[in-house]
Amino acid sequence: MNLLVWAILLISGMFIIMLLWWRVYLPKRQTKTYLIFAFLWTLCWCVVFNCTSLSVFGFAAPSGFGEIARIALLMASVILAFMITYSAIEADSPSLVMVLKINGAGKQGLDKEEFNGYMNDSVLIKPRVDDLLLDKMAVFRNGKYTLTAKGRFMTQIFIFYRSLMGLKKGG
Amino acid sequence: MYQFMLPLLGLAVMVAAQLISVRFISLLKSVYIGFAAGIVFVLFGHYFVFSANMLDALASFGIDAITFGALAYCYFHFINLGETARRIRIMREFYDEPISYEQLLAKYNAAAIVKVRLKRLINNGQVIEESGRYRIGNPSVLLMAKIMVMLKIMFLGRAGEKLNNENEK
Repeated sequence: MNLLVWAILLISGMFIIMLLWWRVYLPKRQTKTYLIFAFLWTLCWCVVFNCTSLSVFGFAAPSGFGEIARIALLMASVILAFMITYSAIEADSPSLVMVLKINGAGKQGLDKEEFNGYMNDSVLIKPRVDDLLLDKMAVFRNGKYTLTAKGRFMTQIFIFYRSLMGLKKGG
Repeated sequence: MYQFMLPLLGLAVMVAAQLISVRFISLLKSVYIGFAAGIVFVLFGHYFVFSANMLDALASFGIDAITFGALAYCYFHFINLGETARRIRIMREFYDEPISYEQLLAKYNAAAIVKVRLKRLINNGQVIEESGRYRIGNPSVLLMAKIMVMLKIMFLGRAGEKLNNENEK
């Protein structure tokens, strides 16, 4: 029970601080900043648990390797899960944009031509290419785009895994 | 002491079950099968390996279920990224050789993106095509979209990407 209470406190505290920070100053590289903050938050608390004996509302803080490892793994998994969700918050999902656009047209629906005109390359492709440049996954050189070593490594992971499942290119 | 490994082992079971079943069924169904296998493993791991009084047992299972759930969510999205993410697809186009923006659009563009997604939305009944117009059918994806907009406003202070908002004007 102690572990569950402390996990809820740590997760809540982390997201409250992040929300306040984001409202005051939105970082340029949001995902990277979030990951650094979240893992530092977890690491600091693990050190505190290891070195002190805390208690909140009668619930003793995690102690010993086993409990600290469980809460660290829980935090790591929640941090990663939110990071993935955040990329959907940062970038507009085409399916969700499409549905909102159609819904915005009301009960009479949206004309196909108008819909196709809205969902163009400057809305769907260009921002993602810009994201890759910002995240240093690709560079623009001599009029062409090339992957960086980081970008190649990421791509290789997906190529390998999709071949493992017998699937072709997605998108 | 090694109870922290239970969610990790559950994830391993999930991955194994998903990789085996995807050869026979759809990608989405294979993920469901994998998740079911993983959570059953975590549940049985708790029941047979670790003992405690009922409240502590429930709280302990809760911790591991949340951890496994979050790991499973990460795995699902890892697979989903390979299936639907534009950035991953664009990186795959850049992978073989440097290409220009025009060359990229010749291989992968808005029309291709919309075609795949619209087909999925129409097949699932979430969008209805009638007399040259689209309208909302089953509102499940619309609800997800509205939740996303709420999260964007909460975290980013805006409802969508700047480019998207400019196009709206």
